[in-house]
Amino acid sequence: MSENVNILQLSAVLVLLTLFPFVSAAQDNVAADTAGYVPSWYAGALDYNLMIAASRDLPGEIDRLIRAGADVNSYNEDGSTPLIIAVDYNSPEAVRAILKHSPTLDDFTVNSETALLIAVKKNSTGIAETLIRAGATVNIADSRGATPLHYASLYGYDEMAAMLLYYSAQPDTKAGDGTAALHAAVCAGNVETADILINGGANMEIRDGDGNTPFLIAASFGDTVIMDILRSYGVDIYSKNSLNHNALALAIAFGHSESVRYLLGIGDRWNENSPSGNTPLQVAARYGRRDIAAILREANIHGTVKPSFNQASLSMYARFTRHNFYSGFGLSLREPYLNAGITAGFNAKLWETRLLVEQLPGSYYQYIDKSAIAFAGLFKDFTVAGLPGRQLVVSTTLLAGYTFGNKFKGTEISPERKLTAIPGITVKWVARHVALFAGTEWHNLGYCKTGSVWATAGLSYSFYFDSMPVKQKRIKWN
Amino acid sequence: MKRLFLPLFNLAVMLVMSCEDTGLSTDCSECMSYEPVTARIEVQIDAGNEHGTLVQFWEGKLEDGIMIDSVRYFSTAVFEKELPLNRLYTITATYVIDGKTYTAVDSATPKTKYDKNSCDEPCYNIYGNTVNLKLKYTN
Repeated sequence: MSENVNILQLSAVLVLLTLFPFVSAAQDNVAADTAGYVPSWYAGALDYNLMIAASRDLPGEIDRLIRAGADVNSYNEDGSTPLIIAVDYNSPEAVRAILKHSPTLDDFTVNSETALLIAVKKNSTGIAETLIRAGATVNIADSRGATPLHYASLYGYDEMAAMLLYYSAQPDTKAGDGTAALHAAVCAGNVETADILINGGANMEIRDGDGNTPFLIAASFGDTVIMDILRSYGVDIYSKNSLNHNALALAIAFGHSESVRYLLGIGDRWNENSPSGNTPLQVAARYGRRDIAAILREANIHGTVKPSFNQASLSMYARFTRHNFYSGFGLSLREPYLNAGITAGFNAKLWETRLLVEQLPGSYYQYIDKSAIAFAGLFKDFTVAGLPGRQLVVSTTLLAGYTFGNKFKGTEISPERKLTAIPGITVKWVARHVALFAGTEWHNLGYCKTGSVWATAGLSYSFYFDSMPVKQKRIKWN
Repeated sequence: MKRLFLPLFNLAVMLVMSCEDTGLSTDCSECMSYEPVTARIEVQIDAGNEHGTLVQFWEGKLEDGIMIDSVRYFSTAVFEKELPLNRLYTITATYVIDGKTYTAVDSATPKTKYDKNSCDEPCYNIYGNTVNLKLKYTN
C-alpha cells in the first residue's frame, strides 16, 4: 500500500515539474494587464508603459517593452526612472528585471531621492541589498547630506542599518547639519539601531553641528537606556557641547529628573563649574526646575542660586469697578526658580468718569475725574495645569499704588494723592508668548458706591531672554 | 506684536478722542458766516423733584466764587445760555433726592474755529460748549 502511495506521489511531482515552466509563464501573462497602458501612438508611449509595468511588478512586460525600444533610463516629470518607480512600488521582480538591462543606479528625483534612498526609507531591505549588489552607491547623500544609513538610523530600521554597514556604509558621515547616523538613532530613541551602529564602528564621541556627542543628545532627551549603553562602551560622560553644557546640565534644563538621578549615580564631578560659571543648581534655578534642585541637594550637589529674570511681559488691560474705569499697561519681570517676579505699570482713564464724593454728611458732589495710578509690586505664579506650550496659571499680586493726576473738572480739587496697597489674584491662560488674563483686585479710592473690588481683564505678550541657552537636537533632513 | 501695535494704538487714540469735544471736525449745519463773540452753553440736567434743580453758572473755577447766574429748573431739559467765548465756565446742578443733596459739577471753555474748506462757504464753528450735569448715580 505504502509502495503504491510513494509511486503515485513521485508521479505527481514529476508531472508538476514538467508543467512548471508553462504554469509560470502563464501566471506572468495573466498578470500582464495592459488596460492602463498609454496608447502606442502617444509620444513616449513605450517609456511610460515601462514605468507602468515597473509599478505593477511585471518582469515579463519590462523585458518585452525594453526589447521593443523603451528607454530603461527614461524619467517622468518627478525625475523618477523605471527603476525608482519599481522601488517606490516595492516591486522586487520588476527591480531585478530592470537591473538586467543595466540602468543608471544613482539617478536623483526632483526630491533628491535615489532608488537606494527610497528603498531604505521604505525599509525594503531585500530591494536595497539588490541595488547595492548591482552597484548603487551605498554612501550616496541627498541634497541635505543625509545618506541611506542616516535614514535607516533615524527610522530605527535595524536590519537595514546592519545590511548597509555590511556593505561598507560609513557610519560617521555627517549630514549637512552635522548629524551622524548615531546622532540620528539616539535622537529618535532607537536603542537597537544605536547598538548596531556602535558595533559597526561608529564613533561614539562624534560631535554634531552644535558640538553634541550622542551621550549629550541622549541626556537632553532623557534617554537613560542609550546613555547607559554609551557609558558601558566607555564614552566621556563629562563632555560638553559648544554652549558649554554637559549631560547633567542638559538633563536638568529639559526637566528629565530620572536622567538627573542616573547621571548623579554614575558620576561625581558634576559640581564643577562650567566655563560660564553655571553650577547644576544654577541651571535648575535658571529653568525653574525646583524638583530637580531638590534631587541635586539630596545628592549633596550644593551651590548658590542667583536670582535672574528670564522673561519680560508687557500687558494691556482694563480695570474697572461699578462706576469707575481705568485702562492700563504694565511690565513684569519673572524669575523662573521662584516662579515670581516684579511688576510695575500705569493706569490711566481713556475717558472721564463721574464720581461721587461725600463733602459733608448728606451732601455729595459729583465730580468729573481723569486721574491716573502708578503701581509697582510683586507677583507669584502658581501653575495649575500645563500642556506643552500652554499653561493655566493663578497669579497673586501685591502692589503699591499711587493715585495722582488731573484736578476734578472745573475745580481746584485733586483726587486724594495717596499710596495704597493693592492685593490681587489673577487667572492667566498662557500660550507660549501670549497670555489672556482676568482677575480681581482690592483698591479703595474713597469714592461713594464705586466699591473697592476691581475686576481686571487683558492680555500680555512675553519676551524670553536666555542667558543660558540650551538647544534640543532637531533633525533637519527628516 | 508689531502687527498688533498700530491697530491697538489707533483704537486707544479713538477711545481717548471720542469723548472730548476737541473741535477737530467742522459741523456744517452749525456754520456761522461771521466770527461770534458769544456761545450758547448747552447744559444737560436730570429732572429735579418739586423743589426743582438749581443750576448755577460760575466764571472760572468753582473756588473762584464768581457766580454769573443762578436758575432753578423744574423739568428734565437740555437748555442753553449765551456766554462770551474763550473763558472757563463752571456749572453746577444741585439736586435734592431722598433728603440728600447732590451737586454735579462740570465745566466748559467755549471756543471758535474758522474753517475755509470743509463746508460750501467759509464758516465759524463753536466747540467745547456742552456740559453734562446729569447724576450718574446716587448714594
